[in-house]
Amino acid sequence: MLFNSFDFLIFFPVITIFYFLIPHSLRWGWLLGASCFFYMAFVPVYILILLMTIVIDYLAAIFIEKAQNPQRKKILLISSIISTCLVLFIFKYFNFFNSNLNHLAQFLHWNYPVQNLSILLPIGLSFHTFQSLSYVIEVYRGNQKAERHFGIYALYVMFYPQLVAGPIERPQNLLHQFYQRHSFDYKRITDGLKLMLWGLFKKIVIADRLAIYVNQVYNNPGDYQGLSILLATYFFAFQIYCDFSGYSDIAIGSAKVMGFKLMENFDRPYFSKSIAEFWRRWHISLSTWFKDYLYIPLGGSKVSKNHQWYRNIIIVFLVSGLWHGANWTFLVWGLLHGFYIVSSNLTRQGREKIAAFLKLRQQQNLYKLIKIITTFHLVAFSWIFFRANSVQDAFLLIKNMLRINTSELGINILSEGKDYLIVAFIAIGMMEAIHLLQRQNNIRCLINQKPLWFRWGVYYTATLCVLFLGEFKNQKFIYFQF
Amino acid sequence: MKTEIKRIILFTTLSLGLAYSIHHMLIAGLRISQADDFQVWNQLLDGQINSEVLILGSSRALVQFDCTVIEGMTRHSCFNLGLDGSMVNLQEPLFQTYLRYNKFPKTVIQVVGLTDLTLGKPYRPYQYIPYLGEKVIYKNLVSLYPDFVRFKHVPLYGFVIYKNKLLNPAIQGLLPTHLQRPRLSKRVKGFLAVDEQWNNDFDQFTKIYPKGQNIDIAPQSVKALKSIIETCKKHNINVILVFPPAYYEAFDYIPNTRDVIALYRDISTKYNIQFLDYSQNPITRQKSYFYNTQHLNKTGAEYFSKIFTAGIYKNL
Repeated sequence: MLFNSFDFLIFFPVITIFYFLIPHSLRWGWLLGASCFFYMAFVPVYILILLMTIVIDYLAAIFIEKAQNPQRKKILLISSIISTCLVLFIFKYFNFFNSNLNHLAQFLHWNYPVQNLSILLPIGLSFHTFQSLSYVIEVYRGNQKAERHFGIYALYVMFYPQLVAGPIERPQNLLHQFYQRHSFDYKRITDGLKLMLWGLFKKIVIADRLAIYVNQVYNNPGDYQGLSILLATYFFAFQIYCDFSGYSDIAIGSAKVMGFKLMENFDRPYFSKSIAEFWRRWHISLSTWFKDYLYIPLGGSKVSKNHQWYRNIIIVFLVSGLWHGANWTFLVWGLLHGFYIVSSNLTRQGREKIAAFLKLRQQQNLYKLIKIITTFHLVAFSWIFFRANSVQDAFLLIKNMLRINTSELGINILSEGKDYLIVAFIAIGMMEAIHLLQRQNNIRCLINQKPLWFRWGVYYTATLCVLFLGEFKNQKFIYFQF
Repeated sequence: MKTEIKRIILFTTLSLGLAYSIHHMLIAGLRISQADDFQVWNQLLDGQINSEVLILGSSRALVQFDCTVIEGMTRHSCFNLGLDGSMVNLQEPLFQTYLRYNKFPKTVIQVVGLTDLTLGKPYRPYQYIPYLGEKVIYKNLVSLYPDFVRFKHVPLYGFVIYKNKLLNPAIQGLLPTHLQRPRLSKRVKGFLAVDEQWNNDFDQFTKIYPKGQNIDIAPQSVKALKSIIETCKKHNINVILVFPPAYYEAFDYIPNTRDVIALYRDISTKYNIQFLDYSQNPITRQKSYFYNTQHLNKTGAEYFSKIFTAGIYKNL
């Protein structure tokens, strides 16, 4: 069930209304049932896989907590991680590795009998796998008590607002909230609904509109050049941001309506002044997960030698790329970001000298703007690999992009015409204006201070914009494929 | 808390009221619209057709029977009610609705083809949205595509899904005449001339179905066809069954072509009505008259309309 579907429009109010009507003691069961229903709307039988991983990690955490021997704790932790990751590997990565081994065998003229598996990737597998792993690791570290209530633990993994595309929650943040009594709070509920509306605006009006142009170009890389590809690349940068942050807003908003606080997942990432800052603002739940469970255990930045730190960075970003998808494009994308961070460190002194020479520090706003624009373009360039169907396609797009053809702006690609793109440009402009406003004030708080007629006018206008400017061809959220 | 709940109820009520108001306003605009998709429907429901010769069928009726030619040769008023992408089970309720609002015709030309007796999701579902108040049409649509329940009962649902097709004609319909963009309708007496040359539809079909594909005949559609004939018989309307030309190579890819045509022949025999089969006519070998295997282009339609009218002239 997609957030931007008619089914969810019925599902959400029904679940929420009954949530507030039933006694607190029954609410966990109600939400768990709703989450099962939500998940089974995709591929019903895959709930068995989810159930299996839930049972494994539920039991593993209890045994880890009970174990006295640190060695035994470690063995249990490793067993839990392996079994959870094995499910991920089979469904997501087996075919990728198998195909590559097959190619290698063909190259070496070896016989390779292993066939690829014909299985669909369970939706949200990467997300709830990481959420389960963080739980087991935190129990192991002693930061979280093992949850004894199986239903509550299952709900922690399956909580429908964040089940299929995050935010990837930590047990310390989410688990205890299922025990709290959430009352009907008008302000909190309306705030959650506003956030959901904003998320829908980003997803349906901006992301899905841009997707039509982007898909046309990126699915036919040899047919376009110059400005068409450049435009598609810029569009994709906004498409993926609006798609994913829109989803996160709907997830956070819908949880907020019921009284649950999920972590922020995006913080205006395209205003970042460096790649390192970008990763503190983009998909925050994933980047902090990698920081806490991979980067720091590898030594982080507290290593004695620079090359060890570079190694840690490259490993983290390679794994991050692989997390996003079983394709060489994602590995290249991850590697590129690792390269950006490493080279940023290597060139810091040189860049500071140039900045000093150009007296940029005396023009702080200009200096900031240069950094923001540079960072945005580095990120946009990396998105080429993220979106392209193959590495070869990515290089073809880059090569063709450099063939500047000023007579063609690519507008003719769309049968809907330039009006379509004009709406997209205006919507992006509005979104960025709101982002700029958010630096000083929370826009939802600003609206709350206005009189009733103004507030309702904004809500109706926003809703009509979503309905009549949005694309309802049911484009899936991009991150669903991960 | 009571104030807040009252506020929620007020907001919800106002939202629904607004949604229904906008929905009905847009429907009203579409009912006046002269846009191609809606013009003929609106004429039908406004009782403005009232022709002596009525042509029913799918796109093979729509683009192949030029009513200007038929009228010129027979001196009988003619109107083409061909419904693009439809099967007989949608043509039948359309006919029933026509009879409800217009004078009964003297002759009905029921155009049939290889796919008219199949079932499928209605083509371009948005064209029906303003007319879901017609019970007989709505009932048939819902049986084919349950989403029509939402189109009818959920305000603005259809307009949101098909905004590109519906909003502009609806708004144009609501504007005062002097503010409307002038529209030259492509349909003349319901007939749509397609001025195109042969395209690659057939090549694509043969790639997907190199061994061809049988036609699945749906009993409901056969029943609908018989219902049209029985209605005409009941009201003393002359009915002629016509299998218009199709490009001859297409038949090689539909293994049960002869069975389908034989079924039409049997029905015509049973009801003692004329059946005109143009599947072997020399025109079927002239690629220049077609823009794909199933449809004559403007030149082909004009030529065929003359042949056809000459053939039925005495029966009108």
